[in-house]
Amino acid sequence: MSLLHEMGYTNLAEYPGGVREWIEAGFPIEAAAGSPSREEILAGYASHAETKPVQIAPRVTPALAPARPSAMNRLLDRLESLSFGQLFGSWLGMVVLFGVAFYLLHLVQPALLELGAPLERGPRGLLVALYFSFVCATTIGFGDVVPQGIARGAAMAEAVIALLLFSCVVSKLVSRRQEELTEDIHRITTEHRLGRMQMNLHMVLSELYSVDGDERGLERLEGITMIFASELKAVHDLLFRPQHLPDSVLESLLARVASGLTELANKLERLPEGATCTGPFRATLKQATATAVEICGDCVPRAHAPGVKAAMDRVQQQGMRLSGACDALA
Amino acid sequence: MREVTLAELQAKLADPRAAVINVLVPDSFRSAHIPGSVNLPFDDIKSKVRERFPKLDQEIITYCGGRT
Repeated sequence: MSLLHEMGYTNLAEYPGGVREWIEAGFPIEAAAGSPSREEILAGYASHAETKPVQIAPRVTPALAPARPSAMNRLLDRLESLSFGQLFGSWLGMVVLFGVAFYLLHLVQPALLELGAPLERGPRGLLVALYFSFVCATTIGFGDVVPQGIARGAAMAEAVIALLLFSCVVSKLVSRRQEELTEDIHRITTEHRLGRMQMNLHMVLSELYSVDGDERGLERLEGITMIFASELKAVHDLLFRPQHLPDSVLESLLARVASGLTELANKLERLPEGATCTGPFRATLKQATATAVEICGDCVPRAHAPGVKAAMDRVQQQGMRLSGACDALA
Repeated sequence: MREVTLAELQAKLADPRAAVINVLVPDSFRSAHIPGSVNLPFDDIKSKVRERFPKLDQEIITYCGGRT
């Protein structure tokens, strides 16, 4: 139900009683020959309630049950949602935190050696500990300051965490650029496709106006219809996909499509007696009409200006007319 | 989500503007379904419902096996 709602359907209701309540109320059911009796069906639904699997019981597909995200995935999702600044900030914060931790550890028991001698205490020692933490986090490892004892484990942990965080920072940078590029490519492709659609529709229209009803004309009509059907499909896709196009562009495209449908229906109705259409031609026509009748102001997922809606309704209307002309052929 | 009762469902079945959809798998639909309902299995709804019911304000009532 929520699936239908997501698809844009507004007038939805559910009958929770289902087949079971219907049968229990004594109403007739429809069933294919050789189906189980009413009692068996009821028993089937009842035993389903006791979680025993029964062949006719409603099936729940495992694919529909959302997989529980693992802790690792949740962590990765969380990292991905952070901005570049936040990621870099947390990396720096971690370096400072480990630096201070190394120094505090050193106060308890010698943990860092600077050129072989234990690190001195005081502000200089803290700075050296921070320096060591930075060297460790960037995995440079100059070797002038080395950890010992428990600090070795901490250094390893810091290197691993810092690497992970830093790789997130880098991927953020790369993906940002990539997203920009993808958007650019998408925009250019759409413009190119729109231009091609407009040109093709124009060509289809002028061809349709000039084609005659003779045998050669029928062949030409077949070729034009093939191009027209594919462009019609492209217009249909534009309306049903989430790309947003200016209403003025849509209106002009739809107007050409509607004129094309009208002219095509005119030509089909005026075909000479006994003219035979090939199978592929009829299939293309059928496909074109099926696409056209799906286009109407209230059928598409987005709301459009009244002019565009009217143009869509006209496409549907002409599609139905073409469907009639097509049936007359068969 | 709006729920309809047995009596309301009967009225909807008589109304040509309303569509009653059985969302069970075809096997279950064949073994028993409410007369006048059409079968659109849950797995196929997404791909087929648009084709069957192009208008988004189409009244649709769904049902399955029932309360268990």
